[in-house]
Amino acid sequence: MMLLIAPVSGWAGGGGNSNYQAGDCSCHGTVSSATVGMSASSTLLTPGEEVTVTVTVTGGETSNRPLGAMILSKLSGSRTMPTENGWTVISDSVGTAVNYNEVSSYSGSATFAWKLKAPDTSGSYTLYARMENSANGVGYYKDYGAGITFTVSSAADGSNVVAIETPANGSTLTGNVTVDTLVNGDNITSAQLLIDGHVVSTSNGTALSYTIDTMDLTDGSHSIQVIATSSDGKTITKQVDFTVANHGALVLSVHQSEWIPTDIIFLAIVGCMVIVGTGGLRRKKKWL
Amino acid sequence: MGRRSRLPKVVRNNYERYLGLALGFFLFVAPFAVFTWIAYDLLGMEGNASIHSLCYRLPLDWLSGGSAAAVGPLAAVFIGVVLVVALLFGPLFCGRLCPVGAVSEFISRVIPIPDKFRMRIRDTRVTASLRYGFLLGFIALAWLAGGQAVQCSYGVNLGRYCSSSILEYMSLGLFSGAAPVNYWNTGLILTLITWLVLGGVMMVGGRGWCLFFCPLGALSGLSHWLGSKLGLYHIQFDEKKCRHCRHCEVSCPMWAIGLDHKVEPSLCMGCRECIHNCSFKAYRGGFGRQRAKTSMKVQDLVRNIKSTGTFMLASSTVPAAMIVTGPCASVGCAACPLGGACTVAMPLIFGGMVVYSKFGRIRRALSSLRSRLPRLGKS
Repeated sequence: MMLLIAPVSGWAGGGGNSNYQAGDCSCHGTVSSATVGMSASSTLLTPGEEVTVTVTVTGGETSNRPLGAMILSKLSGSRTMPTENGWTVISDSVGTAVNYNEVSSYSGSATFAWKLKAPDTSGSYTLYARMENSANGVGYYKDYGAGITFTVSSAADGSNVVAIETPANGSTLTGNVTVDTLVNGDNITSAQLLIDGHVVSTSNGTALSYTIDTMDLTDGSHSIQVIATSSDGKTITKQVDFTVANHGALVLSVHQSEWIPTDIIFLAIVGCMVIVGTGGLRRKKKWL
Repeated sequence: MGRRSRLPKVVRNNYERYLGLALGFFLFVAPFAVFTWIAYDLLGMEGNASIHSLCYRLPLDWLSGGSAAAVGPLAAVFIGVVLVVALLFGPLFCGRLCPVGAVSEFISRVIPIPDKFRMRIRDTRVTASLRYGFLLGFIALAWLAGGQAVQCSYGVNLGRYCSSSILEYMSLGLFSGAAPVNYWNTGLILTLITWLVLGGVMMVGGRGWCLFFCPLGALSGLSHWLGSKLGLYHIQFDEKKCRHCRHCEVSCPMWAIGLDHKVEPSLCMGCRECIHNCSFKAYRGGFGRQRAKTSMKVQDLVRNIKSTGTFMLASSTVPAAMIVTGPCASVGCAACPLGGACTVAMPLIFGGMVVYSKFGRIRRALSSLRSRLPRLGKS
């Protein structure tokens, strides 16, 4: 209880390594001149995947006094701690598992690192960092307000982040064909569409669409690739292979070979027709 | 000395019909679709002119509980004209313009299988019962079970069993290189086989699809039947001129000429092959009602009763199949514990029946051989 009250009251000795809400530090009301940076080992995660988040503080009020940093899911309001938003803190810089860490004597540079486990539910999650210190009786703070957005994808291969929607893999194409892609991650900063390894379209993280005139391609096997790059430099590549058959359009392969119940109904009618029709053959002496 | 035409006699006798059928392809099927382009220009409409612009299945969709709005204005006018013409002058579109029927009939004519090895139903009442029974079964089931339950030729989701779209797909592949991507599915392959192989090659006249699966054909037939009852144009048979050569029977692609040589108007498609192929001029097209003798009326009544069973069979086929496959619809063939065995078994059963019927002679020969073998052994 004492630890929770301490930072609110602006205790000059620091709050200690613990779990804090964003609002617990309201006594630090002056914006620091320090620079706060934030990075993550990956921003495209599968549910439950471990990720390391690093917060760096440089400059500012170097008074050899304690300086703390916290990671938050929100910078204001309630339920701001990562653990209240699906994350699990596995470890931190001081060997515990809390969202607020301190260095006892800040002299111009400090680094904090947390190892977190990603939420179990797919979605987009953002983490922020806040630094707090004090000098000459003034409580300072500085946020990393941009935060880092993590895309947690239930598909291990990130297929709900980047995908080639059309054409289907293995399809045989003729004429003009539209390639539609899905590029869905908040942290995707660029995407490229390549045909046979040649870039034909790019975007700054938005979905790509491109029309292929298959007459420009030779009959045979070809490939379409989409390469998406996230803000942390990680790339996801999706590829579909297709066959161009402009000169054999009548012998395209069957793309959907499953039977559905109405096919059986259709066969029943055909069967009925055939049974009655072949009945006539057995009376062919009455025929011509 | 005039040079003799190398065209087959059947084409020379009725050349305007074959010209019309060839023209129909260019009039209605993309990438040509000349009729549709002209209609679009005249009506100030926009869209891709194709056979789909005139889709004649949509009215059936509407009848089976779909939306009337789905029937476009061009398709509505087109279908209306076809049916009115059928009422007044016979189903001329089916017999003289329709490219779908023309292709299967053409294939039937060029593949040299003797007619005795092809299917044919000689009793016109049975044929008509099957044709209209299927139609009734589809519409009734659609009303009872909801339109989406009937995903077959007459029902909704029409593309899966659409021979017209197959024709257009092939046409686009041949003439424009712009055939749709990933077109073929199981339903379309079944349709292709039924339309061209079973209905085309394996049936006398090659109009099996038109007879049993085409909704516009069925509606046109009904319209023509009504017209003939009202004394409008229909093919009339003069019994006194008939020499019972039966050329008319085999020349009729729609199996509309029965044992009594009369043309059944609900099956007739207005091709006039009977008129052109009868050496004794026993058939002629005309208006007016023909009075039937009382004995013929009684005979007709008896035959109608006999064909009622076929009608009931046909009209119950679709609902019965739907009941049987109802559980399949909820499970899906892929998840079925039978592993989709019925999809293999049904073609095998029907195929077996065809083989059994067609190779009866071989069966008898084998039986004869078996009976002779012991005797050969003794000698």
